[in-house]
Amino acid sequence: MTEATLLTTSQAAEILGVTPTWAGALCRSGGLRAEKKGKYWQIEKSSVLELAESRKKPVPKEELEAVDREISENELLKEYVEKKAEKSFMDEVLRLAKKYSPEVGIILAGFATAIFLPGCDAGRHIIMLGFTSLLRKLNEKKEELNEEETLNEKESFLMRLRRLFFP
Amino acid sequence: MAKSAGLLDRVKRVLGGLGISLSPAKTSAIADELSKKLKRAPRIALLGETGVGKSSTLNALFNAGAPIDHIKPCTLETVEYTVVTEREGSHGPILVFDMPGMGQDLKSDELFKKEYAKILPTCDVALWILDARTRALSTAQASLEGVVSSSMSGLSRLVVGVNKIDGMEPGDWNIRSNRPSAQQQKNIKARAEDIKKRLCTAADLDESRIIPYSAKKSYQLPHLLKALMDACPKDRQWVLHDRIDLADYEELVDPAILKALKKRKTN
Repeated sequence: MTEATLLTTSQAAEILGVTPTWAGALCRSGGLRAEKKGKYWQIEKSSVLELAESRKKPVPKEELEAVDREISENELLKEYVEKKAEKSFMDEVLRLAKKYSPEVGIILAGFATAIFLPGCDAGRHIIMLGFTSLLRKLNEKKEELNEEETLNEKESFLMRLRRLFFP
Repeated sequence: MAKSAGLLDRVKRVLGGLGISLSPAKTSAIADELSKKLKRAPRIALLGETGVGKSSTLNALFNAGAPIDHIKPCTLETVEYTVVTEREGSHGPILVFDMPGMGQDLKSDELFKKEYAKILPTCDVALWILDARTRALSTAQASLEGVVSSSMSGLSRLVVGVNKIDGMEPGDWNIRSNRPSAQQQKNIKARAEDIKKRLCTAADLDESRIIPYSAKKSYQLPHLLKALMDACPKDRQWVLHDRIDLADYEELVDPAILKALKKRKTN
């Protein structure tokens, strides 16, 4: 292979009318026949010319749609993975919060008492204690952080829950 | 420092979202515990013969370059046949256990079985990579039936990646759209079905864990990632996700195609 038949990524990009970044990516992925010498790619000119020729043809509509579907599917999968990771993180935080938050533990203890000792009122009172403590802390947090809107929603959710158990 | 500050903010957001109010000291304590868990690198068992694309797959998933060093982690007993390396991904290190292959001879298989039994249960996921172009599966089947299954208490943490689908017959991968040709798609589908039939009937392996992909072309990597996340224990999923730096399929698509798609969406 003579030097005249080998191109750099910049030269290949110029012929193709694309960025050197895409030309380099094609070299790495085997889309262009190329060899790496040190830091630089040496690209077969014939490979570049073949691609340039094929790029003159319009892309069939079905192929465009297929790429679109591929991209959309990838996005959905990435979203699924992110949500899964977020849930995993939340579960870990909640597990640790139970260690540190007496209120959550109190509410759970109340539920356990109510389930296993149905005739006894202690369970309901323990749950009430937990909710009251949580609401008090929520109010303190509102003043501290000035996040009234979001915390108001949480407050009303907690109050609705409390009313469910204590109508 | 920035990462731990980010973790504290994440913890505060989660606690706020759950309506849980803790003192700053307790919130920091939670963030510290999570930071320790995050520092424990994801452990990935890598199985597959030489040349199937193990390194390029790790690169495609984690942007993990050359091994930092050959190390034997002190938490494990000496491992004789497994190459353990810590690789620095762009988002942090991962610990890779390159497992010896089975099916060469009975004596080696017996030795390797002990290795598998020692290492696999300590890993977050096991990724078994096959070359899509190779039809032989007998060694993979044999290993799957006996060793991997008993070492990992079933196959819930195993993912089988079928790499190099870009090289499948007739080898006319579409460079511009970075997708298999129509004939390649048929062959890939047939190959995947064949692998599923042979591996899933041999062992209790879910079909959804067998993923055809191409590390070189960054093709179907999100599918592989999803399978890995599904296989990973729930309490480690967020740690694994933290290390991911997925190679982008679109980077290899002809910019003219991406431009045409963008134009369609705006019209």
